[in-house]
Amino acid sequence: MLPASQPDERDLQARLLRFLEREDVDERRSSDELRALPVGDRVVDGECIDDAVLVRAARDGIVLRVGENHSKFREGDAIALGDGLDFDAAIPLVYGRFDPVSGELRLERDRYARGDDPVLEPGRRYVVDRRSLGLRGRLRDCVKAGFAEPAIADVLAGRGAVGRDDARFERARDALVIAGLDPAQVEAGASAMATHGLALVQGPPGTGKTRMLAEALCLLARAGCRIVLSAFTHRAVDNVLFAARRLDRALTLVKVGNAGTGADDLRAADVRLVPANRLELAANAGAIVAGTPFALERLPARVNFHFAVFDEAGQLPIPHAIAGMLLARRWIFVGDHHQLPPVVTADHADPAATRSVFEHLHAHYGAMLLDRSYRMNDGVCDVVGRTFYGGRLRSAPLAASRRMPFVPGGTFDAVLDPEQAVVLARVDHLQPGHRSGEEAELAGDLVSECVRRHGVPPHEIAVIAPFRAQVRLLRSALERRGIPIDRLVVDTVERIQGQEREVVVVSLAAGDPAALDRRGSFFFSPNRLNVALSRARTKAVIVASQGVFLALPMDPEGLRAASIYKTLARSLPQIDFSAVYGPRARVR
Amino acid sequence: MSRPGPKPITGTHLYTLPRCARAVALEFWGDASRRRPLRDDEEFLLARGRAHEANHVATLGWPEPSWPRGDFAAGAAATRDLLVQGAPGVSQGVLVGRDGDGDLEFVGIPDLLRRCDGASALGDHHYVVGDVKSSSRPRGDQILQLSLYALLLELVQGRYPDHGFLVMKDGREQRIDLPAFRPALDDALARVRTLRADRDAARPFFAAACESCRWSELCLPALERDDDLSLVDGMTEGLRTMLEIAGVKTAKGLARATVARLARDTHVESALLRRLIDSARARVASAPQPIERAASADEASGVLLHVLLDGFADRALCFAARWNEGGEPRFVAVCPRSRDEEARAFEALIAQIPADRRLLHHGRALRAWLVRAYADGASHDGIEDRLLDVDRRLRSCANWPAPITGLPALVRAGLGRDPHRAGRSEAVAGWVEHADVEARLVRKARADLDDLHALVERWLCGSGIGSGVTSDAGGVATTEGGIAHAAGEPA
Repeated sequence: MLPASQPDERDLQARLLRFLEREDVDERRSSDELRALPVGDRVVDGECIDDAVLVRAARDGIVLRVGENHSKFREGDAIALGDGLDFDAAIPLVYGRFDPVSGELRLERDRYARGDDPVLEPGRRYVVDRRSLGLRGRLRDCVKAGFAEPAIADVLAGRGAVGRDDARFERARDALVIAGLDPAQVEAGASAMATHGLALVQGPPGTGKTRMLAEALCLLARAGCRIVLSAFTHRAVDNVLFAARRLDRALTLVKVGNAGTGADDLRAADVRLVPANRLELAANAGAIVAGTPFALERLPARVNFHFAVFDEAGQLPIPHAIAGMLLARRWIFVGDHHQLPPVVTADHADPAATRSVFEHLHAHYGAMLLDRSYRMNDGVCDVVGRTFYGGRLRSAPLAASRRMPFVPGGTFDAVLDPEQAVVLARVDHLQPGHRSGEEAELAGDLVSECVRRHGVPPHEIAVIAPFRAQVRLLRSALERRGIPIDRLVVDTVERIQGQEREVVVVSLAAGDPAALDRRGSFFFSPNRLNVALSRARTKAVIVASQGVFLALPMDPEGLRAASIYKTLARSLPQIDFSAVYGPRARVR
Repeated sequence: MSRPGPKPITGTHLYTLPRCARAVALEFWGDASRRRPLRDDEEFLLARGRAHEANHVATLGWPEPSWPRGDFAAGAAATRDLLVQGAPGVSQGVLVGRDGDGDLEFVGIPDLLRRCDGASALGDHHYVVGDVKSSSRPRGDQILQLSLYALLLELVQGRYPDHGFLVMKDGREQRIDLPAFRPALDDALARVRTLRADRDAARPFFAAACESCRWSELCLPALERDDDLSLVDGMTEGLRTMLEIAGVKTAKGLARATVARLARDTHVESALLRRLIDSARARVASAPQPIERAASADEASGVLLHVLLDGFADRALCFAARWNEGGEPRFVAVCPRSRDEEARAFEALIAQIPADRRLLHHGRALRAWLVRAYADGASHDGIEDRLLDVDRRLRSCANWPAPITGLPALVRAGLGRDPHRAGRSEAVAGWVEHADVEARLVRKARADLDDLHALVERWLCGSGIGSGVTSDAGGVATTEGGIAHAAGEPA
């Protein structure tokens, strides 16, 4: 009854090309669909800001005043400013920053947009909409080129060489032991350095994979190796460059392509910033050349490398990885498929084509596991390890005994008790969508007590939510309490991977079980929950409605993930604040 | 509702729970004589599902326990005997569970119990549980049902099975990691127990599932009588509760409310509240209220495409298209006689359609068919890029006086027509056995496309003004002449 050729029998190349094609089609379709909706519906979807009154327009940017901003826009997003109906006449701009207290929204000029300077009228009301940019077409050629290389095709098909050179391994191991790495880091790092072809290293949260990677790359580069380093985000690329620079001031470090928002910091770290198509490397000299996949795709064909290294490979789709794999014949993948997955927009019939390169390769070859967390104390590590890593994660001795500062006698003692590392602070509500004012108020008071009573510095606190609309509510709640939000991290899970704080507050935002049943695996992502909780060194507080833990999604993956949430909730101490912060408390 | 006997909890209750808790409560407490009789198409689909199950089970040749009808205890005993004897498998075995007083609390009759190696209370072997399904992929409700069977099997063999399996409609087995779903089962059981103990534990809520629910004739009149908030388009159960806490208990009350007050009392974002209030006003006015949106040339000039599917057989039974040419409507339909003919039939249809126009369709079915039909990477010449789903656009182009749960609801609310006048979409699979199948399919496709065309023309391309459509309290639309405007207060 189904097609004779099942997804798992078809050629992977064809599946990947189909994936890219469908992503493109879906992006165009999504844009068309959005534009066909009334402004009000686009606002509810988080893809629009209406009633934005122009305050001033200058050469460097445009400032508007906005009453409500529940959009999903983040700094750097391509947007269009207009009347919300005529998209052809809308002005192409770039989303800057929004101040929830003053309601000021700053938009930047798009230097790549063509056309005359727009005429804008102060005092007039405008609508801010999303603009799409198609970038995936370039990856299709990479996929075709990759599968034309037998070594790459073999690796992706599960036939790759994973052995190592024993002599190189011994030398690498000795060097990494001297560098002070732990046994698992030494084993993984040395194996990667000595690989004949492929090495995979799984780095759960706080296990020092960036340090291990930096040590290994520096050793290789000092030995004269040319290394190309890639990751999906600029931040991930930059993190490894900075770690390498801290270890070795003399190494040649280059970032190609767009520098991202960290250009000044990279220059300060003596990282050369070079357009990809103009890269020149000295012969017989080691170097680390880094860039996102779209940058690497533009490197000149004559430049070749000894190793291609991929960090945060759990977030890297296979086509994007191939862009880097083409540049070398030894590949080191470092990542964790239990943390954030690749961002995929279309609804794909072939889920295997949407997996990250790390998860895909892990299914074939397994990975070396870094099993000691230097970040999380024993309590946090126990919960994270048990819930997401089958109990295989341990807290390093120095980290294990850490506790957050605590002065008894506060309102939230039961929540902030240092001996209860992970706690569920409940406020039952039935919000259907992406935001909960009830949770924002509770989270605001919790953070306020952390700072004012227990002396936790604001820069040691992160407040995380799955949705940007909730992030805005949280920022507003914190601002109203006089907490300096420029020193806290208040953001979505996607923006916080790789970071850590003493205290983490996670607000789940949605509360209606019936609405959550329909959203299934999109909301109930164990990976995102893992990343959120594991940012904490000593204390993680989940602020959520009981409704989250009652949902029964219809899709199997959603139901499985919801079961993980249920198990977690049952294992945690729960303190119920519904009487104070819940819906009935609001109505006078 | 009538006073119930202590009906045991069955897999069907678990299966139904994700769709509607009220339906589960009615299964325990409701008067079965008041359930809507099965329609012919429903009878057909049920019979087909049973035949599929029977065919698969027959191929295995496993014994079936013999027991007097209705005597579940005897059935369970007979099943246990077969399991102790180590039968390679048992079909339609009976599993029961009792409460603390020894009364029958659970009854499960899984399609399949398969023997595996590994000690249990039965001996050096144990069993895992399986069920035969008519879907192509597993669903959460099916997994909950299977999980209940596993729980009951544990009572017999002293060991929770480490997996179960679902046999999908193409005969493939899907292994289910049952322990991973145990927390969901525990929650579901707790809720079903509550529904079994308290007839009022779940309130009715109007939703898409009501269209096919046999208890709808009990629930819907009650909702209308109460002017329930669930009859407002866009409402969710959580929103209803929050509005009620804030003192808004009826659609009329919502129509009179102000955004500012509700936002203050509910924390719900203003744009969503505004939409709900406007929908409530449309309900009070019994007429759709058009919403201003950007004009789209694609909508005005597009070709409408439609597909009639037999979901169980994964077959496209009819492709049809409608478009305007020189001011005159053109209609083409092609009915492939087998799965192998589908792609060719579709391409033959496309060849008759102007090549430069967008292909408008309603819902996911057509795109899903296209993705499946060309899954092996064969080219469909960019057809997918031309597709344009008008579902969301139609839902959001007006404030509708009733919840829009699908195309039939749009046809009622937006045109005042009976969407099933040429038959139900769910019934087309049963027409294959009829001599005039092609005529029926073409008639149905034409009626659907006429409706879609009218909706697009009136509500997307036009302003909706002059539609002259009103809806009566039951949500069935009637047509009047003249212009329909709603008198309402500004927000």
